[in-house]
Amino acid sequence: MKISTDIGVWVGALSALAIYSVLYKENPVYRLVENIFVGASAGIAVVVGVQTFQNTAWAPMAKGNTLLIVPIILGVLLYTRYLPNVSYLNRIPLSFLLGTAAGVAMRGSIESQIVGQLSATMIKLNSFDAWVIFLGTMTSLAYFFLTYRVTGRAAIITTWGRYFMMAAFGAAFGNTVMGRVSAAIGRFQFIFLKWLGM
Amino acid sequence: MDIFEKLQNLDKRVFYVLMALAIAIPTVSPLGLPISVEAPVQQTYNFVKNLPDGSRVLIGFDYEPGDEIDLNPQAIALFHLLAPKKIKVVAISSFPAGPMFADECLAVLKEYGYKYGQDYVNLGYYAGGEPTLAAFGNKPTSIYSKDWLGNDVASLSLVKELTSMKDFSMAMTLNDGPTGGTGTHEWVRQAVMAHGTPLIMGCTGVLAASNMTYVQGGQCKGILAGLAAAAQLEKLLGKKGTGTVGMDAQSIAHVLIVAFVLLGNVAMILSKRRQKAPGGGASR
Repeated sequence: MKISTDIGVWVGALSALAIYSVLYKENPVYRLVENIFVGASAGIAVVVGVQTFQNTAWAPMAKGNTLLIVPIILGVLLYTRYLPNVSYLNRIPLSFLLGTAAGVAMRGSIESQIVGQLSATMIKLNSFDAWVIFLGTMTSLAYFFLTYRVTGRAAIITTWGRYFMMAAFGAAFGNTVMGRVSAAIGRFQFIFLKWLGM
Repeated sequence: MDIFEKLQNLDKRVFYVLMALAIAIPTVSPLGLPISVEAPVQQTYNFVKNLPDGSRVLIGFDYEPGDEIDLNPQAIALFHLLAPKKIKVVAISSFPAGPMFADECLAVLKEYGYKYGQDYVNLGYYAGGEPTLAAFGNKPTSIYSKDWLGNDVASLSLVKELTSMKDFSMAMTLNDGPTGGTGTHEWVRQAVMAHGTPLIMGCTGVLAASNMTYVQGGQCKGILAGLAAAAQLEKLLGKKGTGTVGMDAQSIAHVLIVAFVLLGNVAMILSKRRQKAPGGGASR
């Protein structure tokens, strides 16, 4: 066992233990570390924001790329929402941001998220997996056919659609559990291996 | 209160203690449980193994501190796979903490004689998500004037070689979801659809189910999901890392969770049967 002498590792390990202490019950140490975490995160966000502004806007503009004054002004206009008299001005950069983001996302999204996914279900039905994909897609889509209530023998299709979706939710939940356990493993590895050197 | 009701009302702290032991014991003394390689990991391994020697890859470190245990081991295993082929690495991040993880993982490349600026670079954080990634795809130098270490990007020979996303033989995003950064869907749109650059996803276990469709649809060349995928990649490489160490703990923890779910349901069913039986009833 070789305990770490790195102050950063000590702070990390003690903070992790303080956060885990809430599992026993709510306590002041947990609240202290939680508040430090929120404060530190906000501080880091401000520093990163300023650095990003300096590197991507201010410095290049100072070097002669004067057109960058346009996005800088648009950025400043975002803050006019805090001034009631001119708050309408923040709609200009907001509209620009929304329009740009929508336009950029449009490029490729129809092909990647609709056409590509549809064609992936049009496969040769020569294996069990292929049949599961085909039937799962058809019955799940049928479940959302809400124009009229499906009754009688046809209802079996929507019922199977529900079963397929429940299986998918189960798989997603299982993966979520795996992710949460991984997060705990990460902290335990940090505490036992990096901090305590076991 | 009978044993079944006691089981259903078990203090959750008992579960926490058992879970802590289930993770702590295998972490300190690994059991060496067998790891089997799944098809998506094998597919990813084969794809990366067949990349042209000396080509360039783009890696997005799109995650925050809570998910480094899933994604750092994936990145490190991947670099062990890329380095013998002398493939150059460009790292970018859509989360402020991402460059820190990139730095940690890229350190592996130094073992193979990689030189910073020439064979690998960590360009750092970019704000703006998908639109910025789109701009990077069109002209990589347009969004960075300095790298993570503060160097002028114009002085880095690897960056000088870049003209667009097409210069990369592969792009990969190590991703923990779309909140705050560039998500996997955005990477598919901007790398695959806009430039035809093959994409590999490394994601947390939570995202596996929703992103597997891209692999089945052929839009994505492979996927690594969670710590388990990192351990499987380490097995294929013959290098034990934090992924392999973590898998023992993960297996034991999952057995514990399954046992508690079964026990809780059995207790509930038996308790209900007892209440329905003649003379049965809830104890007060």
